[in-house]
Amino acid sequence: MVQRPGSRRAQRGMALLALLAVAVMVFAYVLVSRLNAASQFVGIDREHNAKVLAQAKRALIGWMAINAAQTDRNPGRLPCPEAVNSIATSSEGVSAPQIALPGPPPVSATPDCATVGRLPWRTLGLDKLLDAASEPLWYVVSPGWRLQNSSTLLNINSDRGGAMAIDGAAAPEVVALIIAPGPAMNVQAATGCVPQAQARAAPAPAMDPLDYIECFDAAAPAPAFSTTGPAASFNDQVLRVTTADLIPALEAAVADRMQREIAPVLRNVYAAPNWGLTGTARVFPYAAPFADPAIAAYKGEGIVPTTQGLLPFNYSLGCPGPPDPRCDPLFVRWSATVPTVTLDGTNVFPCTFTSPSTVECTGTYLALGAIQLRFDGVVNNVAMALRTLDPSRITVQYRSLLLFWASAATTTSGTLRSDGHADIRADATIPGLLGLSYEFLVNADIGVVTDHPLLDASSTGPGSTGWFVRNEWYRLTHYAVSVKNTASNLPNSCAGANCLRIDFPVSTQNNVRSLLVLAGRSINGTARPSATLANYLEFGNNNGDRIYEQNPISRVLTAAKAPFNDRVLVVDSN
Amino acid sequence: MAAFRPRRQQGFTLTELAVVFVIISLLLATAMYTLSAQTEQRNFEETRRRLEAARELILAFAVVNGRLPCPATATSAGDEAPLGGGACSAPGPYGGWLPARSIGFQVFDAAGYAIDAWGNRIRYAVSSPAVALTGCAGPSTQPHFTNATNLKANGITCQPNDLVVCRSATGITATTCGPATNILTNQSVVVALVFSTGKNGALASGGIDEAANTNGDRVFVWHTPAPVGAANGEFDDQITWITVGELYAKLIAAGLLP
Repeated sequence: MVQRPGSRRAQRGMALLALLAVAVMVFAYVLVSRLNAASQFVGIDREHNAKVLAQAKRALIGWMAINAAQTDRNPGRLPCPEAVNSIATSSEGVSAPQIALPGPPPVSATPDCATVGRLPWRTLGLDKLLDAASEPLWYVVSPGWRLQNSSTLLNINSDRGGAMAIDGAAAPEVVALIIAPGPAMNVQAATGCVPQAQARAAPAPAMDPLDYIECFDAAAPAPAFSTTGPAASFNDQVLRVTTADLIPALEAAVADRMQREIAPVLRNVYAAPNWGLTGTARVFPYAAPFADPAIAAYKGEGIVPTTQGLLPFNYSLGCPGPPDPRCDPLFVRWSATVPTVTLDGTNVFPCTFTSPSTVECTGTYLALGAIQLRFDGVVNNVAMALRTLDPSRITVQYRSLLLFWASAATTTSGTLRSDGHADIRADATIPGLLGLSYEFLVNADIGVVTDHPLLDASSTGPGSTGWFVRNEWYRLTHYAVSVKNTASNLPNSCAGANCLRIDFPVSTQNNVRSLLVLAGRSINGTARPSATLANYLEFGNNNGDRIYEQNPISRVLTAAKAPFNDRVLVVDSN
Repeated sequence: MAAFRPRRQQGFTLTELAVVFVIISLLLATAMYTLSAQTEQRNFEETRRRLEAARELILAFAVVNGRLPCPATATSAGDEAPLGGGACSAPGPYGGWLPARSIGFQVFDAAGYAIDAWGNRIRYAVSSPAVALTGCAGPSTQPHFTNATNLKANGITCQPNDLVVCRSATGITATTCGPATNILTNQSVVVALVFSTGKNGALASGGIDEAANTNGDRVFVWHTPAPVGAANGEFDDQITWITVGELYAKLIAAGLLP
């Protein structure tokens, strides 16, 4: 009997097998799709990325610290991203502006320092770190923390933050980002994300960052970046470099540099053989009482008998257009006591003030031969400031009645007084001849007691201290002096209990004449600037006594005295 | 009654069996080749992982001791030599082994030396006190990196000035990479290197690039693996290094510097 196709006996289960095959194929497709999706961002990739990102971050912080501690005139600056013209060359990985290897990183005038670029791995000393997708790391650095060109002067200190927006909100705590870009993706539109089918050709200077990292706008007033986003729009792994990461290292470097560069200068502002001091005697200026060091309130004027507070960083010369309370030409000024000129130790001529800052002395004399001329004046508040002598600002001239004015060589000196003022004296020898009549003219400018170079924010050369005042580290620096080492106790020096004392964890130094305390960033959560000393100094450093303490720098809250980030620096000791 | 008829023989022919064996052989060979390649890749990655672990342990050692360890010598049984650091024992700071016992490295051979995935000892080099430091703003007393007291006193402005990593051994000298295009790291950034001599152990089969890593001088070579017959010979060394920035950042964070 012939069986008809489709009869029950003809059924051999083929349909079932076909169905099973389809089911297996569908299951396999789903399984592979899921595995494939998961493999794009699995934990092992993230772990790898986390390691290389952390390594890069550590190298970045260390690079900053070393440069800040050395001679960088912008301590705290971060390197620029990789120079685009180094990409795909043997210099790849070098920070912009282009620098040569080997050697220190000089800067060129080429303003090619971008906000975003690849990590300058070679400048940091690293290997070319790759993320899990074998892509080099990218790097974002906030404005204000990188050099635009060789003349850029930054203003970085403990209270500075970044100028970027992160994840849609201002994030002053973020100063840099290090990014593992992950594989190329088809970026879908989303909040903060511009659609972009990422295409990655061979690395070249013309690389578009949007082909590597997602959801950013470097051109925004505050460059905007993301650390997270929708899966269809974002696959970067981003590590923030925050002020909490960076500033402690910066403070360590700056404290080290202050000890080397600032303390020695401060030690010798009023020291023998000048200012009437002899031997190894030194005098330290009075402190400016602690106040909110915001520029609107802080005049930086020392007051007798204040010995603890802020550095007396007032100045007289070159006051800027917008008033700076620290600039006060009338603080260190001529005393109301009229200066005089004495000839041959006997004839006294009173001088006249031709302006608040200038003195003029004139007179005539008859002499058989050369005679001695001596100018005496008093300048107020010298020991309440940082000043130095400029002998060129006192000139002595003479002439016979028939001749032109001629200049006499002048020797100028100053002597501190116990009230903090200073006696200024100038000596000259002027000629006389056969009893002829001569005329003398002495001009004395208040600039004879001029601003100390430590106050000069414009100094940028090698070895200059301009960074300290330019970046306003003086606002974050507490200053103390033993009363026995102020002008009121000339020429004594402290001894025993008169000296300042520093308690270290396992030792004590009890012979300190003067010290500085770098207060560091706010670690008690208060905003800066602040008018409360305890918001700057910790524990025993803010109680006003002569005893300071240098505890371990620590943010561990369980430690006996933590958090603590004061750094005590000895300016001078017996 | 029906006559008995023997069933028809339905076995495989020799030809069919031969074809099957050939196919199976091909499949097995392919599988073995893949397995071997994967084993090599796994060893390579495992070695890389061990080097990275060693790197982190060295930095941890620095945080605890305030200095870098000296290398282990052939007779120090995996400890740094001398114990306590200072001037590193012969063969000196460039030619020793990873001090596995000193840093707590967990994978070591019977003699106590750290080993890579192929069982070869992991090597270690540290900046030498025989080469003057650079950048020091204050004292520069040597040894700097292997002596905690000097490291603290000299401060963070001091940078090494000896160890350097080059792209190849062509043109290198005993102290420099030679041409600028051959320089991989600046001479003032590397304070220590940890490296594996790879599967071949950098012995007879190594080329000049590998030889540069075991000749005891301060110049090292690192590039991607190269096969036998490459211009500078086979190269399968793996190197990682510690920058002075990383070291100082760790010590500053730990409150040990400056």
